This record gives sequence, C-alpha cells and structure tokens, in this order.
Amino acid sequence: MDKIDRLGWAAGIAFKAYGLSVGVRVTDTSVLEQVCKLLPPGWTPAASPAVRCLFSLIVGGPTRRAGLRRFNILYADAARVVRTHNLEEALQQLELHLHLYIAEMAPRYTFVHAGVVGWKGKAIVIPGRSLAGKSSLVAALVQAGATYYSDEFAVLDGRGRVHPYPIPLAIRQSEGGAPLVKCRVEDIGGVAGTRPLPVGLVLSTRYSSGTRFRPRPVSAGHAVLDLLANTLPARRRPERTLAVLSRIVSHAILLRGTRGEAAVAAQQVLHGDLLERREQGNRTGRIYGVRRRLALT
Amino acid sequence: MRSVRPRARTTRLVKRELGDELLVYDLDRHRVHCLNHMAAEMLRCCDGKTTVSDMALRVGDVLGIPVGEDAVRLGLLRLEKAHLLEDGAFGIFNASRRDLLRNLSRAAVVAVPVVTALSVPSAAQAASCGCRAFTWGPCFGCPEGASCGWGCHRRCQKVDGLPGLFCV
Repeated sequence: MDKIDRLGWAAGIAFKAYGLSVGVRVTDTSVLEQVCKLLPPGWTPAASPAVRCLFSLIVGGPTRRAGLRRFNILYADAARVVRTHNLEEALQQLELHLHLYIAEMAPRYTFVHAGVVGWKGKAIVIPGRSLAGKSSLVAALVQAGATYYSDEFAVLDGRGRVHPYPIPLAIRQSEGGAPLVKCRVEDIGGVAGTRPLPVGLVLSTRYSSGTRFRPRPVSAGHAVLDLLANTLPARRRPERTLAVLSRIVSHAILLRGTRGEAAVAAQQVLHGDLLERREQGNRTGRIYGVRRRLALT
Repeated sequence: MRSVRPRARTTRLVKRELGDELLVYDLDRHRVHCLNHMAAEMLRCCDGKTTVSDMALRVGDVLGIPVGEDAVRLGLLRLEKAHLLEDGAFGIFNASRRDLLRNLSRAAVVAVPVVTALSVPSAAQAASCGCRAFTWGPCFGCPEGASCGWGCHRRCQKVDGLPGLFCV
C-alpha cells in the first residue's frame, strides 16, 4: 500500500453511503468528475478523510515517447482490480467494485440482487441472476405505472423494508440478450421512489421466449432460498440475512415462474389476480415440495 | 438397525423456523437447507436417544398422519446427506434412497421428508457479473468456452441472435 501511496495523486473524494465511508483518488483531476457520476445513489461527502476502503485509479494514456502508452490501473486498497488501456473499462470496473463493496459491507442493510418497483404502497421484489430479465420486467412495470426503486439491488433494512437504489436502468436490446443502453427512469416515463416500502410481493421469475406467465405460489422457505441465492452479504452475515429475509417472506406474497414478454407479465402483476391467489398459495406452498418429489419418483 | 439412535449436529449451524419449515445454514459449507415440516420434526427428534421406530411414532403424532419407518429412514438419509447429523450415525442403512422411495410410493404415502439445499453464493457471484460482456457488450476477444476473466464463474459463449461472445 505504501508504494501506491507514494504515487502522485492529483485529486480524490471521500464519501459516505449506506453507513460506509469510501474514498476514491485519481492521478488526473479531469477524471474525478466522471468518477463522481459513478458513485452509489444517496452518497454524501464525508467530513473525515479516513475511509474504510480506498480505490486508487492511475490514469494512463499516451506518453512522450512515440508508440508507448501507459496502462490505466485500478486498485481496491492494495489489490489490483484491473489494468487496461481503455479508461472507460477502468471506470466501469471502478463503478462495479464500488457498488459491490457497498452492497457486501453496508452494516445496516442487506443487499439482494433484484429489481424493485413500488405499487400501491408495497414493494414488488424480483430477485434473479444476470440475464434473467429483471431489468426488462422492471422497465415494463414502470411503464405500466409502478414506481421505480432499482433494477440492481433491493436494499433491505432490519425492519424488512426496501429502500430505493435508483441507478439508471440497464435495458437490453432484446430479452435475454446483452444490455446495450443505460437510461434514466424519467426517459421511459417513470418516476423513482424516495421512501422505504414494506415488501408486498416476491416474484422469482426468468424470461423464456413464448412462455405464458403463470406464477405459482411457493412456500416461505423456498422463497427465502430464492432470495438467498441473490443476497450479497449472505456468507458474511448469515444470521442477520436469514432474519431479514424471514421477516420479509412472512408478510409477502411469494410466487415463482417463468415469464414471456415483459409487458404482458407486468400487466398481470399489477392488474391481475395475483393478490387473490395468496390464500391458495399458502395452502399449496405447504405441500409444494412433497408433490414435486412424488412426481419425480 | 432398529436400535440406531441418530443425533443431530448442533455446532456451526444457524437455524430459523418459518412456519412449518426449518431453514438451516451450514456455516462450514455455506449451504442452506430448507426442511419441510416432516424433515424438520425428524431433525428435532434426532437427540441420540430416539430410535427409528420411536421417531416414526413421534413424527406421526405431530403431523397427524401415520408415518412409516421407511419414510423416517429416507428422511434420515437426506439429513445425513445434508450433513445435519453427527458423522457416522447413519452409514449403516443398506437400503438405498431409490429403494426407500419405491417402497414409499407402493405404500401410497402422503408425506415425504424433503430437504432442499442451496449453495450460498459469494458476494461477487450474487451480484451482476463484472465482466464487460454482461454490462455493456460482447467480450474482448475471450476464446469461446473459456472462463470469464473477471472473477465470475461463467463461460464465454455464443448467444442466439447476438453477435460476439457473452459470458453466460
């Protein structure tokens, strides 16, 4: 770390987000403005320069010698994260690791990789891996009238409420394909939520072309497994994570199923009869595993 | 075989009851097990004193349905496989899981102990993949089938309808 400290650092910023203090320093002052755009939502400048994690970005580029280019190098504390000629790539990695660090280490929050929207005073949480179609469904829900909370993390507090994490949506060109555009929620005609909401629905779904959306109720235990598979601090704080997730599923409707087109599924989620299936779901969920197992034998 | 008295593992586990179900987090293996009502009751009976036949009676009383010894053995095998029993307690059943299931299906039972397991992901695995392929576009010249170079556990391959390689 001393070797990195000895380099010529031109500018830096210390900020607080979700109870963590983080610092970023760069060797080129012109890059700091771009760095500020990558910080997590809700960040505030820290009063003290002492931080828990320090990211250091050495900005490369052409040198005086012809044909020679310096690398852009990013460090997280003393660990090298990326070494590339492409500054944009280094900044993307900085953004990714900043968000990842906050999500894993935030002391009072549990971050679940999920899309979240608000609807009628409750949050709809859609956990899922990358390429499951979360962002597409979140965008469709927002266009259908829901309030945007996040397409990346459901930020859960100790009371089981979801806090907004309104980063720009990463919309893919085609369902299940690679994301090509990042757009603000206002660009698709939506608004971002500002207040924490209790969870009303946990919907584990993934996109499958041509599928009719018929979500089935799952038991509370299986819903916790669905959430846990996407929870960032699960290994670091298992006891707290289980407590928070258990609190959520005890009050929410719990559904699972593949979906077809996002717009159709969004209409069904917001205006369908999913809420009326709650009682049926709880009864079915109790023997869900039994039926599945017997069917397999 | 009837004198076997299984004992549940008690160390390095985090347990959480959810209605009838029981969630058990194995801190050693970072695996979570979701036990249905029957499996949860069986685990509670594994005190090192209760025999298989006694366990069948006790679990049957709690569930309100007759529970056979085969169902209990199947549950114990599943609990053992999930590393929720003390080591060496249950390697002695000579019937396989398949045989037990076959017997159970002949008896037309209505309840089976189910243990659903999940390997808990690390933070990087749970979050969006850090590779360029997932966030902005195709990979930078990764060879097809190679592991993604950004710490994720995916492999670079072709995706239908899209040019280039993606980590999936």
